[in-house]
Amino acid sequence: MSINRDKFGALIFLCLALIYGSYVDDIPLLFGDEDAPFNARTLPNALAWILGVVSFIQLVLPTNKEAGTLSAAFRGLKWGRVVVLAVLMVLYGLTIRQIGFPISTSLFLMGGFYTLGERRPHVLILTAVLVTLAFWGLLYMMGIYLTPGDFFYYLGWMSNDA
Amino acid sequence: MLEGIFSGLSTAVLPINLLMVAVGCFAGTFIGMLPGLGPITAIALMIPITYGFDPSTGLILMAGVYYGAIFGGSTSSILINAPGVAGTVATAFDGYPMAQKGQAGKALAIAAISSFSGGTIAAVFLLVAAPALASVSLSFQSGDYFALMVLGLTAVSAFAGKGQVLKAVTMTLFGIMLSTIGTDPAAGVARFTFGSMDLVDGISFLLLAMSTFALSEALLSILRPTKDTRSDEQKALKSLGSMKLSREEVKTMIPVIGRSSVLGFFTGVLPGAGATIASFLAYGMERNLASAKEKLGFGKGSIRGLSAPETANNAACSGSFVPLLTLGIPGSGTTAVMMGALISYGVQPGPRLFVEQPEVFWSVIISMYIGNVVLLVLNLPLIPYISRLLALPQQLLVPFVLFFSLVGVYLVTFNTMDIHMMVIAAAIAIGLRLLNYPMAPMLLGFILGKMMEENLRRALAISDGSISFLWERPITLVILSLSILFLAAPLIGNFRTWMRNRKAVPNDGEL
Repeated sequence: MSINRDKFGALIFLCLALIYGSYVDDIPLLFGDEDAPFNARTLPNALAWILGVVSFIQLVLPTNKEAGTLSAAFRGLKWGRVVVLAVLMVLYGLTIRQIGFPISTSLFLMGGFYTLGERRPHVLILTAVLVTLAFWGLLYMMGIYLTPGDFFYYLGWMSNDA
Repeated sequence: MLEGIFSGLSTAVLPINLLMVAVGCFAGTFIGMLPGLGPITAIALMIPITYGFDPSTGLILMAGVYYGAIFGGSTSSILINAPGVAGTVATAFDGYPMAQKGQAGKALAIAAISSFSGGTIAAVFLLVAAPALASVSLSFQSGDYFALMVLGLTAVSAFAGKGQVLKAVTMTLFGIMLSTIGTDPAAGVARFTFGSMDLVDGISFLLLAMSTFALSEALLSILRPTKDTRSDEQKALKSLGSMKLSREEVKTMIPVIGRSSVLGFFTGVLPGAGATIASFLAYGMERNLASAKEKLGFGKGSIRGLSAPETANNAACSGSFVPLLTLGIPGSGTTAVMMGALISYGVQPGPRLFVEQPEVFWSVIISMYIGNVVLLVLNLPLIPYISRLLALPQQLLVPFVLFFSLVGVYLVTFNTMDIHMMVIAAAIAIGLRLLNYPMAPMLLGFILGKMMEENLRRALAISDGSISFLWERPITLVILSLSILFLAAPLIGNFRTWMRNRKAVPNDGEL
């Protein structure tokens, strides 16, 4: 059985409303705030209820056949390259401090170009390195200094006084 | 007021600001011509760059990008029938047939002149309407602001399109929910942070805008590859033909520009409406006003059919600044991004802006006019050169967009956790886009959520916990009634359609 795309969306938001609503009671209240007309829990509580009702209405309303099925919406998508790009972004976040802006950015760009089908070595390397260095220089001129990376400090190649 | 205009003029004509208008229009035109990237992405990508400038310069740059992106979208609509922006879909109806007849240059010139005229007339309206509305809104109280924000959010949902109203409402609520993450500003208690220090300050607006628009749009272009239209666009640009207009053609355009400017401006002022609705309304209006013989020309390269939507979409862009600058309420996703940027500069848009920072208020209005001049004088002749940038292959372009988005956010906080949060937010945004949920209402809900809570809290405190403030002042009551009307009208319409369909087809039980 393939569920309608709109109904699936409504179901997800109904679950979200329930989960969000269940965490509302975890919000701490200041002494005396319990009886205040408006406290830190008021809006979240109202939002959970309203979203729950809106999603429920969407679930019980007649099916919009134009929306199509969930499987149709996700059919024919090229996930592979997107997943690789997402992994590259995560790695970029993990390495930008350690190996520094210039190297991590160059590697990220080269990885991105390669993933999307660029195979010419001079384009891959030159474009990535030149853009990175130009951007780094531009930031330096704007007064934003990004360190070359903790790794180089550990090696003793760079002074911490920089 | 005159003093304010002169102060704005002197700020707007500063060399740096003139340069920013030109750069903004140029960059916006380029991004607007790219398939898949819209004005919100164009503006979001500019925000990190604007942090180094003062608020006037930053806003001037973003306004230039906004106009440029709309103009760039028109170029793709006319040349290859592929509107880069929703607001220029109606432009393709008559612009593309003109280009097919070998009059692409003329069509581009009509579009540029109409955009310039629409933007200029609307800037004059803005000059009059904005201060008047700002003065009135100085008397607004917390309850009125709360009602206005509800109106803004419901209007955005109401104008979301057929079958999309409930989805837009859902996304608005989702946006407000995201705004509740972090420390509650009044009580100072943490909400939904789950013990993470990275969430104590809440989710950054820039992070959300970048990941839900720039990142997700770039990744979607890989995930769901569409036909790469850039080579077609470049081919079409090589045979533009003459850009000259005859006296007769100009005469035909003048009344169209007048009518469409007024319609476009007032549609733009309405929260939730905007360039797309304005352009369709103007096209429809011109078609209705045309004689039976002229009507036959619509859709086949009519000058009126091209001039009307182009005038209206630019006038609507100017109009959409009215609620932003005077009430501090963005009426569209694009102005919501600008508002988020303004708040990050430490400027609070709203009636006090007109009083406290008149140079920001007026310089933006004046620069809109300058932006229109730049589009006409600089961008039109430069179109063939801008198009050369389109030769940049997609395998290089997408990683660049990803890099600028990630670094743009990282440079503000220097927190690597933000990069990981962006990846997660982009993944969620892609999922929601595939389920056909609109992103702009979420951004609007996120921006207005905190302000709405603050105003509601204050109004309740003033009225001693009673909700009577909702109907005690006529203005609050009128605004709230409008909100209910906006929200109820499409729902009733949908219900009536369903009833009619039900009578026609008796059984429908599929989930």
